Amino acid sequence: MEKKLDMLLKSALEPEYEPEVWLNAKIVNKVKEPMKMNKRRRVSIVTLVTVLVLCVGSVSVYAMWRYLSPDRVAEKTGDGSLAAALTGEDAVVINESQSYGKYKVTLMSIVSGESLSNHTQYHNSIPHTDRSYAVIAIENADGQPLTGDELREAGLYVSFFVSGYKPWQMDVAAMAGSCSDVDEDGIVYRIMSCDNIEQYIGNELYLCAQDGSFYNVNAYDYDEATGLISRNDTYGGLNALFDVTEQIGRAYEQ
Amino acid sequence: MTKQELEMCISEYGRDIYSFCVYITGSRQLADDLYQDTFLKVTQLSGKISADSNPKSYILSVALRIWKNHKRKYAVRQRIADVQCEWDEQALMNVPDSGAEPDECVIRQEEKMLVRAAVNRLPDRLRIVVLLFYMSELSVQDIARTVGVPQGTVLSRLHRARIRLKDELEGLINGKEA
Repeated sequence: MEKKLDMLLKSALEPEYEPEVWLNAKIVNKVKEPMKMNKRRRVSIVTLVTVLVLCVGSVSVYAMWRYLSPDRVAEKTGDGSLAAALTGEDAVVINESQSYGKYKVTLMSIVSGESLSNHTQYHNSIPHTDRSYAVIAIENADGQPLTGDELREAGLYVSFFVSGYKPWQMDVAAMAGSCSDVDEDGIVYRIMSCDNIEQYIGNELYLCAQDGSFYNVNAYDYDEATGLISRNDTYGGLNALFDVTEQIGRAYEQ
Repeated sequence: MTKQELEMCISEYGRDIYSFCVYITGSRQLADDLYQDTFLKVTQLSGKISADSNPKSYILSVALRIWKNHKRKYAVRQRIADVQCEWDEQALMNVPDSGAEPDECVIRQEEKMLVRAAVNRLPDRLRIVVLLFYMSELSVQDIARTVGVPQGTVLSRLHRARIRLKDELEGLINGKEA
């Protein structure tokens, strides 16, 4: 009888309940990430070295300044209103680069808000005016000039991701996304816009840049338990992933 | 504790910890609060968890301590009659065993409900050791450390819990033996 009772209890009291993905993501988000501080410190050191090199006129320093500014990119698309927003106090300047596959991607700036653009995005005939805009620069990692036509042929997928949401279910396409490209001096600039990402503050927020025209399930990993998203290191092409949680959160608070 | 370590912890033990929180609070909503409070506390005390030989029992002890200290906040026992239905509904919503005939699944779910209800009627000090032994599958030694009592006390409480459960579930047990 003892054995039967034990079996009954073991069976009935099996741990069957799973925490929701958003709950795990909420817990993880609350943990301060000391590594991010180190990254900022490293960026500061790079900036310091750059300033020193500038003083002696190195060619490599010129390379950093050959990018168009985000507002200039917007101007070239005919969007003066967005250009102004990208120089305003709500704009988040990031200037972080990642190189994977044959490309180098630089996330330059993000700005979010209501009616920032001259152009209104419609989705199912409904205007979407509360938007986020991300400006990125993409170039060949080997320094060879990249043209808009080449990139269009290869395809470039840029999207925000939100922790707790599967990327293949919630991405730029699901968020009434649109994009426009500017081709200048061997670099292609993309302005990606979608519904305002600030509504997801509290979650981890990412921006991805991946080769191909659509989301590739092999490029990124989604952790079902925590809802967190990461790069798949075994993917051979471009699968850049920028963690923009802090920057967007800070901009929103200000 | 870094985010990565916390993610690994949640991945490894999240289900067990959350299930324990559901059982002791009797409500998914309260379990969410307790589960969150537990892991946030664990990240503050992360030095201790890395030194502990059984991280799961350590996390459970944190959950238990928080629950005891804030019983009013998680105020379940006085409302247990109200949430019992919710809990039973949750149990019924669980995916049935694969390959079993539908009638068998219903019977198993009913058995589970009866057993869980019987466990729930135990006094806290007996109920906790039953949950830690059968649900969390901790050793007597780990239960003693988790609850903060001697091992002899754990064995004594398990024994008394079994006697009470045997009386309550006699019909079920005899049905299985027949």
